[in-house]
Amino acid sequence: MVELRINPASPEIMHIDLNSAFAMTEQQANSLLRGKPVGVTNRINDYAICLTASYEAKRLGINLGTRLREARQLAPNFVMLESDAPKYQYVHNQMKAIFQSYSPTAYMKSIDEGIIDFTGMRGLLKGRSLEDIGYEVKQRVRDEVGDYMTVNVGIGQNRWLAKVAAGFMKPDGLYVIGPDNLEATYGFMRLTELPYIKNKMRVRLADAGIYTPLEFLQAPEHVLTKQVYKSINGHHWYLKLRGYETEVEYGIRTVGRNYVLEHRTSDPEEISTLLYKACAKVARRLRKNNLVARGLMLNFSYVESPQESEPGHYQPRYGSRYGSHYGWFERKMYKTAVRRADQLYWRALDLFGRSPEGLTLATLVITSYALEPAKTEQLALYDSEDVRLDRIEHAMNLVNDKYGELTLQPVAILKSKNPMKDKIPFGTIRYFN
Amino acid sequence: MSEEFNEKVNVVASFVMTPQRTVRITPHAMGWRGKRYKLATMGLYHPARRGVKRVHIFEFTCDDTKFRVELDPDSLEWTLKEVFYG
Repeated sequence: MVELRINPASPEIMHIDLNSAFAMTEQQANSLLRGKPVGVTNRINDYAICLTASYEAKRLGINLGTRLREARQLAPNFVMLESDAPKYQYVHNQMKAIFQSYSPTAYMKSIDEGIIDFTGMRGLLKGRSLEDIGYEVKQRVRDEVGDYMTVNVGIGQNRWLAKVAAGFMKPDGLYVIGPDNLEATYGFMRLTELPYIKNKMRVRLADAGIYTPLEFLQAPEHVLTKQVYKSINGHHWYLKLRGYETEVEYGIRTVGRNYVLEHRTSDPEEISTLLYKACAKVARRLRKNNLVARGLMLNFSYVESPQESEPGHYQPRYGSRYGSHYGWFERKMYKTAVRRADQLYWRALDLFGRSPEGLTLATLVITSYALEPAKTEQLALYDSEDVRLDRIEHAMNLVNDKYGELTLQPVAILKSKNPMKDKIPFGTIRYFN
Repeated sequence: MSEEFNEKVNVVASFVMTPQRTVRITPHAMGWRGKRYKLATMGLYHPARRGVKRVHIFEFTCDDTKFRVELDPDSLEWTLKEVFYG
């Protein structure tokens, strides 16, 4: 079989990553925190874990997942702050504006990282190198976002290699991976330093005799496709390791709400109330994006371990950094697609009825999937109950848009002790615009 | 370490039109509870939504204290929201 060569094209994709994004934004906002170990969490309570740590904190061994108690033992002067979504959203928007001033195909990949695609733009760059532009982007982030903000810039032949490059020389580096230094770069890396290769995948690769990134590059395509990944993903890895583009942008595939309980509870009534709150949020997001959902999934994690005889699916949490919580999940695909909070709630209750009883709930995740565009309702001679309820929910959303979130809320929610504030939309920016 | 407030304050600020036709607002000093605080380091400005209204939030430090103040663009009133003691 003919081996595919490394992509000979010059690197034209730039990946920009804001370092320790939320912690650095807090240090930008509060100059008294600069140079100090700082962490950001969603809610400060006994179970709070660090969601992002400043470089000073990382040097002391405080990382993503470190509990507040442990962090204070490691660094008595450690400062934990609650996340402030509008602040991060502003930084995100400023960065997006900078990136889009360079290329029409610039976009944010997540809340703290963006891509500028310079493919086919060499003529417009007037002889400037991408490294030169990379240094300019760094300076503009300092000038236009904040003088304490540093970004890592990576330039590569595809988006994945650009991300690999952005991982070097943190916290203020710039690195280029091209056809000339691709193999040399793999040569000094470990497998788990490659994006998306974690321990589980490392073990699978080791089973196929692949222990280093260089061996990963040299592995024949059929080994990756038939032995390691057993899917089209093997073919994608074969291409992306050689610098060919494989990433495809999908639209919104799921809409959900993730919630860590401030007051842990095993009371079914309180959990039902929380479910309603979460459904209301999901319904609002579905409506905003003009979508309806057929599938619904509930995912709970408990303080205690459920009995194996209980119905549903169990998944022990991996590692110890999230504590020793046990999870339960259940999902169902329904015949009809819905988007109203009450409709989602009845479905969520149906799934909730199958969950193990008497366990203390720590986190709750509700995800709607199998999304479809919402169709315009056919005009009826007489309004149906469904249409009426749909209009009520739409009107409530308009009031909340104008006067602020939860200005109008169903009675069921008012009883809950657990607030459900908007926190950081991790990994996704699809609800921003 | 930090304390929340909701008190009206007096702020001396400059409003400068930028070449992009936006207004850059920079606070310089703040009067609160009979004391004048001169802004030492401007941390971060960011907007936030209160329903349909867009308010402007400024975070700045003065000696060992960080202030978070909010400007209501309709009434041009400044409100002290948080004080962080360093």
